[in-house]
Amino acid sequence: MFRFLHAADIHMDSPLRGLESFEDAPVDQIRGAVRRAFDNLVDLAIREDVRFVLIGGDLFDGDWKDYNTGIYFNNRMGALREAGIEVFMVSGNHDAVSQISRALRLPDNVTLFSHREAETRILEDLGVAVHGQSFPSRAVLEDLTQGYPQAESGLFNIGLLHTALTGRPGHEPYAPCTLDGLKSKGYQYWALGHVHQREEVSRDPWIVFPGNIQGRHIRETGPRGCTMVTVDEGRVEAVEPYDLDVLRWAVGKVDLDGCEDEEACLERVRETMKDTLTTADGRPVALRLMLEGVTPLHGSLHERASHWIEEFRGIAAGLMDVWVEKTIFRTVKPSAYQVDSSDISPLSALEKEVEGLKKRKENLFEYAPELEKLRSKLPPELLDDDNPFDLSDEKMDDLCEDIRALLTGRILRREGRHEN
Amino acid sequence: MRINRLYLRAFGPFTDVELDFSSAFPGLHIVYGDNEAGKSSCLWALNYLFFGIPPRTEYNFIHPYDKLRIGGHLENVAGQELTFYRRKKMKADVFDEHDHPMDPSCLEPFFQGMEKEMFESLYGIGHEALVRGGQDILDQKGDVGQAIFAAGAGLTSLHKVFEELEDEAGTLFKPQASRPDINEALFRYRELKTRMKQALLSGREWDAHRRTLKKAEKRLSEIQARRREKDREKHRLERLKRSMAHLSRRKALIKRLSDLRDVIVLPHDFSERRRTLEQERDDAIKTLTASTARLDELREKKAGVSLKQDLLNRAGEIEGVYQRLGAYQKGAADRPGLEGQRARCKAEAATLLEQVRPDLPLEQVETLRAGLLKRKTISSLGNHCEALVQRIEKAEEAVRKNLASLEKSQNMLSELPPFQDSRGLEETVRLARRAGGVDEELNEKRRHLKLAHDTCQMEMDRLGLWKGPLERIDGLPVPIGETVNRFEQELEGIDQKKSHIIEEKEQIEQDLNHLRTELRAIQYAGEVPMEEDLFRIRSERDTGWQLIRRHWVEGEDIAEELTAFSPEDPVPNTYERLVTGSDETADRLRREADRVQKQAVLKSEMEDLEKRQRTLEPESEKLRADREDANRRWRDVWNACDISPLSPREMRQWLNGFEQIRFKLSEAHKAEAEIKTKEQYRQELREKLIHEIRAFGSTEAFSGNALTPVLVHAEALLEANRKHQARREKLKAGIDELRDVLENSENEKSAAEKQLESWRSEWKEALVPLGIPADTGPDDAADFMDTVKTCFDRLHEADAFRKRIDGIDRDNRTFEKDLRSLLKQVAPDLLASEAVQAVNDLQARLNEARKDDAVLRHYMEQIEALEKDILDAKSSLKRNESQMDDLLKQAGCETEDGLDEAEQRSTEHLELKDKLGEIETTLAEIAEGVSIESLERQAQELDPDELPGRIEAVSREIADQLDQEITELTESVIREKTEMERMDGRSRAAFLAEESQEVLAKIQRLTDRFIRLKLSGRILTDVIERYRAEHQDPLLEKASRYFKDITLGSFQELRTDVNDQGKPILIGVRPDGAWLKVEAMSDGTRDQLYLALRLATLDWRLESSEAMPFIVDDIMINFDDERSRATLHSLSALAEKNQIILFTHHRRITEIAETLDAGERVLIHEI
Repeated sequence: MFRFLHAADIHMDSPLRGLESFEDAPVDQIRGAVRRAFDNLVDLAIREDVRFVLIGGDLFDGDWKDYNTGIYFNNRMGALREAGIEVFMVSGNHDAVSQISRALRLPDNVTLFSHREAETRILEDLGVAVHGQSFPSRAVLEDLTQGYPQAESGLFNIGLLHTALTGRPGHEPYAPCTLDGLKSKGYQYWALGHVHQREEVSRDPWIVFPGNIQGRHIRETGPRGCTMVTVDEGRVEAVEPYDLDVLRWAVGKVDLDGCEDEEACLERVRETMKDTLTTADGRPVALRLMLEGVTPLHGSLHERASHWIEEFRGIAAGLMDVWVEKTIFRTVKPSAYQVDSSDISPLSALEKEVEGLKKRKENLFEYAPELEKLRSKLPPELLDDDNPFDLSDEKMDDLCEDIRALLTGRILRREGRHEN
Repeated sequence: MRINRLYLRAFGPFTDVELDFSSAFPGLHIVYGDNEAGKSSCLWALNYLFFGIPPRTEYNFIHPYDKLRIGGHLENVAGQELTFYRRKKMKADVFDEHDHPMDPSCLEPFFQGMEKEMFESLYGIGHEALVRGGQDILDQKGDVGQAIFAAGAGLTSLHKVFEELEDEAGTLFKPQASRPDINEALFRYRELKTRMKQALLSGREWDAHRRTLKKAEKRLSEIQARRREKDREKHRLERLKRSMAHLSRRKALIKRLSDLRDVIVLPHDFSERRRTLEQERDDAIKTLTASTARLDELREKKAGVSLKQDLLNRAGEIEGVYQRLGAYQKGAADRPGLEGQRARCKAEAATLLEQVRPDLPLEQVETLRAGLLKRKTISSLGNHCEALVQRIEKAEEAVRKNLASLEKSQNMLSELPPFQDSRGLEETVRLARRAGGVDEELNEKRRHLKLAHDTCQMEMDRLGLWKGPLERIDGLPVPIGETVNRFEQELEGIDQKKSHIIEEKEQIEQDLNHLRTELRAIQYAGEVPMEEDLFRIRSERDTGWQLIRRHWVEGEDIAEELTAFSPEDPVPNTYERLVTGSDETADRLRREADRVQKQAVLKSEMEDLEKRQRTLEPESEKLRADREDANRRWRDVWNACDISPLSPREMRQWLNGFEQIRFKLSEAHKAEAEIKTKEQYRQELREKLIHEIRAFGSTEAFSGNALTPVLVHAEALLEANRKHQARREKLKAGIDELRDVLENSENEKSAAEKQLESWRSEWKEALVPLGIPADTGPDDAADFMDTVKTCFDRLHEADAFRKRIDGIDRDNRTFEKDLRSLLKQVAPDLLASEAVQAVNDLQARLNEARKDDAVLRHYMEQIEALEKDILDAKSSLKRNESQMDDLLKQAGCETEDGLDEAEQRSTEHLELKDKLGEIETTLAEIAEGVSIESLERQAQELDPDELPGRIEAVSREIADQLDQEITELTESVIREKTEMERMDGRSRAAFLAEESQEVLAKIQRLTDRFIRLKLSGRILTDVIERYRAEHQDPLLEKASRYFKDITLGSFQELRTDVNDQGKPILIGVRPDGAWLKVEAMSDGTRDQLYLALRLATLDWRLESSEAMPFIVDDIMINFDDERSRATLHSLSALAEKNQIILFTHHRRITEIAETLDAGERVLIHEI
């Protein structure tokens, strides 16, 4: 009986995205999160006395150039070497363009499979054959498995591969291959990488994406880690996921249905934060708050958004370990003022104008030229990802709702009318 | 909507106050109140009634929060009415007049989703708002769009909205600044990026450093090896240089030593030993001489001392007598005191005996000792007597107490009511309980039933078309869905045909027009010859020819006919023209055959179409008849239910709604039947229960149908009965117990009395030996015994004193006898002296004898020591002589005189050897392991003069070349190692990347906000412009009128002009035609302009929306009487269509209003 670890998509030293620092934010807890998650992987391997570790590609992040990252990796590999643990890796699309992986001299307990052809390493004492091939370039569009050899009979065969399989949403369709193609090789375990979401694709044979070891933005929510595989007499005995992440990403929906006052709202937000913390097993959480439901606070929430966000951050600071990534207001007001086409009040003119904007999908820069000046100054990274100027339908709806609420609020609550 | 009544049940200063706003017109209602009268309270009450009482309000100064209550009666344009009340609650704060909760949605038809803030904006105005509105018009320099938008939204300060949007956007971003948040964040982001790039370590750099380091390390180790070699060489040369001198000195010493080969080498301590022996010899001789002289002197002194030996021999006895002298003296002193003590004790004993037994002399007192021995028995008997008496008293007390308790319990038992059998009642109560909360359940069900009925009624009303009691709904013969479908199809069929015909008609008309156009086109090209023309002209020609022929050939006189044929021209001309015409026509017919043909075709087509057009008319007529017939039949179908139906499609919807109601009603019927069954069962239970209650003896009367009061009473009866029974049983048990206790107490008493009797006989017996009467009590007996005992104690003490006196006498006699015998032997001269003096003298003589003895002993010891010293000195001299002989032998000398030279030669030899050793040690140190022989060999190979030069050369090579290179290489290695250490895999760059992501997130958030602010400003501008474009004309027209009225005609109208920027602005026109910009108007006039715009907006909105009460709060504070009057007049005109409630605490306003003569349009309410 022996055990090995299967991890992938480390993206070493890539930063967490979308977390704006604020007072009392748990900054130290998120610093170097990926490294600390990787430390957890190494510690786990040593503590659990595994025989070898598989890394299914994307060890480094493509455009990250700091060679310190490579040195750090080698240090950790050195720790595994002292513990007598071997490491097998293939490079993925990110590694293929990484300057670090090109310059790095790996320690002798680490095997990086060739990118020219599929190779096999045999571990005589365990009766294990590991087959693998690295990515030669970023975009590999052919099926690499075709070059993988058939299973060595009498051995436990592992296929190490960076692939999108038949395609996974949100992932480039690199090294495509089919389930049947994988099965036809007769291996006992396919250790895959590239897809960041943990997935057991098949149990006979085992085909597993372990997911990445640390979520890096709000689209990577939930637990992250590696897979521990137990093999006995040439058969897989157990496949267990192990969480390695040091910071958990989560979307917390807060149902404000019927919420009448500020305290009740804050209490519900606090409950949601607490619930989220409970599911994170003591890790700090980067939380996106999604406020929903029908509530009389709708106007206040939209109009005084920054006040509310401060309050929520205050709660987060009180709970420690919670980082409010963003707050999204999706509430609805109880008896929505119906836009009646016959109503001639300026407010209904405003409603109509906003509705019109939503439908026309006008180019914002033509509408307000100052925005072009701002856009030209923004760093390109911001425009790549979650671009504030990219207005898909949903974002346009949010934008229009925000503007509507902003203006209605300003017009209606501009000043106290005959107040005592 | 309008409010007819406002009920101020409990609010602010009001308790049960009502304001009646109902009137023929919606009306202008002036609510007047002095300061403090509650005008503000009333105004706010109206607001709170409409939109709820807020969580915090100050109007609880009389009525507490939970008692606040405001009500109102509303009426809307559809004629619906509603009376409702508000309480201060977070939710469900709407109640009816009986304080039952109401569904808040019942307000919907009156407010139509109007929010509080919106209502306040659109339908509220106060003095301050008026002033701000006027100021804002000035701030915007009369911008028409902004002015009417602001007035339309009830907004008084639109430019502030713009300003704030701009200001906030400005704090976020400016293209050419660095302070705004986004600019700052962008700067920070760039800075972080730069720092991150600086922190980056490239793989190539790392590799380069690694290579340089390796190379430097290799070279360094080479150079260091070479340097070590040179060091060795230099060292060797220096060693030789240092050893040269030593080597030559060594050579000389070895030669001198070989000359002194045969010298006797003496031990190194030889001289020392010789000198010691000589010293010892001198000392011994000196000692011998001195000791002999001292001995003779001591022997002479000893002979002079004498000794008293007899006294010393009896020293022990003399000491003993001297010590006993103290005791002897003390005894003689104590004796008289002891004699006195003895006599006192004896006298006391006699007195004590006299007290208790005067009859008995002291000498016979011993007869009482036997009685005294029984003291304990008597004392214990005495104690026992007391215990017995107490025991008897206690038993008697218990008997008394128990008898009283027993009597009390028996009385209580007899007072309790008699036992009653409750089984029947209990059984019934159990049944009733099993029925559970049947009353509440029935009430609840009744309420639900009522609610269901009400809902059905409401839904039926909403559905409309049919009115009548709900009971009729079940039997209402509404047609089935199929019938409706059939009619729908039939009517649709007819309508479809009808539309086909209309379409066809239109098509024909279109085609006809087309044909006509074509025909006209042909005709415009010139008249088209026609066959008919040819026929006509030919027949005319032929007629002419016939006339000519008849006139000319036949000669008939047909002048008249000719004239008729050709009235103007001569006949031949006419005929010629006709011939030519017919030929031309014929020619043209042939030449223009195509056009002729086409025209003919067109005409024929037109005829066809016109024919078809005519046939369509009757078809259309028939369809109309069919439609009417169908409609009539459709109405007939519904007639039975007294419903005038809408279209079948609508009626199908209606039927759906109706069926739902019918279904709900049938459910309600079922529920009602259930309720009735349950009520019957309850009645039965109730009657049975009452019957059992009566049987139990209660005459309680019950009203109503409810079961619960009866059940409660029955349960109370049962409970009382149960309590009585329990009490009875408890009392009985108590009585039994008391009887047992009483019996025990009596037994105890008699037993104790018996024991007292037997005690008395024992007591009597015990007193006999004491010789006191038998009736003496225990206490007296005890006193007697104590006294006798004390008497015996005194006698005993007296006896003890006597014994001590006898002892003293005996001791003194023995001492005197012993002293006399001692004196006889050692000092008979003292016998005559008194005892004390004799003892002291004897002791003095003994001390003197002891001193002499000590001196003699000292002399003898000294003599003995001196004799020994003399003996020792003699033997020492002998030993010294033999040792000196040994020394002479060792040095090979005959006499002591030769010893000095022998010692000198030996010493020289030893010194040379020492020097050689030293040199060789130095050489060995210099040689550092190299043998001296090898060193001598190397020295022989070298020329001593070259040596310094060679050393210098090697040193220079080391210092100038090798060391320098080593320093450089070491520095290089350290540098590279430092570099490599810096590249330790730290995550500084990664941390900076993370930090820059945090800034990026901030930029994103701020950018989102900036976009929203900018777009908001832009959209607001657009909205204002759009609003102006759509509403400017009607609004300004109305506003002109109000402005003219309110300003008493000092302005004729409002117009728009265009300012320098091309924007439309407001202009007031004076009656003389002069134009006045808003900047030129007075503050008051601008306020009135704003008011005019607000009123115009209200007026204009009436055309599209339902009216809402317009709440006006003292706006005329700054108006003079005439303008106030004008304003009230304008308001009263508007109040014909829109309810206006004006709050004021200026009496002037009501006075003006009273003189308005506006009839029922103006009402004044005082509070």
